[in-house]
Amino acid sequence: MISVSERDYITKGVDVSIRADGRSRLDFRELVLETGMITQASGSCRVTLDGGTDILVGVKVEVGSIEPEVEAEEADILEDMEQMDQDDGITMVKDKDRGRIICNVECSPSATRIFEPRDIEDMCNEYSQFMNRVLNGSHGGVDLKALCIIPGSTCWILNIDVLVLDYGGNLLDAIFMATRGALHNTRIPRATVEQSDGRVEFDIADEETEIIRGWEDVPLCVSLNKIGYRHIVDAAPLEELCSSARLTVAVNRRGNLCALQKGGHGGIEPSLLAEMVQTAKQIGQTLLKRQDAALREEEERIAAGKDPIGFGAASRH
Amino acid sequence: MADRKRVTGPEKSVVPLLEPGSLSAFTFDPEKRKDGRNIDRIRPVFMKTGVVRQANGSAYLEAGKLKVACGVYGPRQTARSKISSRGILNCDFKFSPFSGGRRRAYIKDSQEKEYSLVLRQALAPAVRLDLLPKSTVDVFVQVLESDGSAACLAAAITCAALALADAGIEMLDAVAACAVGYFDSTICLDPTDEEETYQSGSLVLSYMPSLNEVTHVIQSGEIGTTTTIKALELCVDACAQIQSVMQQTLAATIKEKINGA
Repeated sequence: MISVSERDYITKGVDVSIRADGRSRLDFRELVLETGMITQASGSCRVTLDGGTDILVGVKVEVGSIEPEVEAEEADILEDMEQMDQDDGITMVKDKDRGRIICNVECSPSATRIFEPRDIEDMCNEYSQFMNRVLNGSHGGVDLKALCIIPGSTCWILNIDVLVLDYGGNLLDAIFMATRGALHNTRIPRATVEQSDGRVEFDIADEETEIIRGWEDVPLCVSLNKIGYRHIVDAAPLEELCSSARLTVAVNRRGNLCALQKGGHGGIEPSLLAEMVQTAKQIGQTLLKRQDAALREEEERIAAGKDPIGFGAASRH
Repeated sequence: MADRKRVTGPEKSVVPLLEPGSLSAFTFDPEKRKDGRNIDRIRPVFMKTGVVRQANGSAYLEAGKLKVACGVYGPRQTARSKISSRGILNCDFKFSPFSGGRRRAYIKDSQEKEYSLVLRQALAPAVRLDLLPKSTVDVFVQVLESDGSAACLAAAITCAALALADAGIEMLDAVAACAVGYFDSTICLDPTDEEETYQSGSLVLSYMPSLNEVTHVIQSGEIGTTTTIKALELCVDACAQIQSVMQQTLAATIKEKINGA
């Protein structure tokens, strides 16, 4: 809930491009990014937006069956919804030479005093679905064919688990930023396939690892919130409460849109919608550059053998 | 003793990835659609209200093979003792088990959960929930037969809006929704299931034509900005067409009521 006067204050501020934390309408908050702090995971990344939002993403790779139908049948009996996620697309059934990505967003209850448990569940489901849709396709960036071990039977499954540690507005953008960072950090053991006597076998060498091919093509999200007649980027919690509509745009480094989704309870005029898409595309491009620079720094740090700052990272700046 | 003269097959066999020519032989040509439509044509729509007697309002929508029914209950008192100045819109989207190529379970899967959410987001901007404090409106959409998942979602939104209007729930405008599929640079309106397998992306737009406001948009696939904007314009036009059918249907319902009474 937000009071009428507070809403008025924020709306009028947005109209003249002054926001409570001193940013203008299209400014993104300072972001702190760190990778590889969870050593048990195949890849991990934590993104903190100045002023609250704190996302931790862990990637676990596992060897699995390429045909999700088998698992989905089991899931029917177990009433396990997560397993059925993979059965969604019609396209997936026929793609027998591709690995899979399973995304799940979890919200730590301590992070969200604003929401009710049911709203949290809805939100997590929405975000998980959105991620699954964006990442499990040719537009998701990750080379799914490279995740295939034996066509038709075995592949790598990337489990991307997102944990929201703290809520400070603009979750989805931070989630994608952390996911991209985690994929950059992920190493998959090298699997060698041997063929003998008509049998196909594979061997996994834990020492030799490979990077995820195509991580640089993974899109980032830009969410624009419409407040009054204007739109702002990277909304803070109070600003999100004032927003009448939200538009989330996923942009990759080629400048193409990978997903578009509207949220919120208000409408947007078609001409404004087109303008918002353009804005989001530009902001997405700069955001990608910023993240790539941060990831390069991280790579150098890891190469130099320095330990991650870990959970003190947020106070680095 | 092992029979050395015969070559025994492998214990486990793997189906060949591609039978020769199975994928390359057929490429979708948007200019030549199977049902003879142009790329900027939606399937002819049929709508009817009052299909569920028990419900306060209901609607049925048919477009080609696509069949969607919707029932609206309410407004009723919100069960939870929570005080809210705005009404609550509950939306429930369900595919019938036999609606698609694969049998669906009775329990809602994640796609149905997501569509329920999209349905609410698409309808809520139109419904005057501020006039319904402490109340709840329930919208149940049942897909009898689906033909194209994006088109199905669009049909569900349109059908639900019609049912809401039939229930006499005050709205700013009737929401109409329509879907497009992207085939490289070609944009194709209202793709069917078969066409959908060849598409590189899709977009569903919900729009209030009289108010000129978009209530929801959802897109997937890697698409350029200019193509997206072109698709949005195409959808806006198609939504206006769909809304005129909705208006005719509602007018016919009212006429029937007057004549019947």
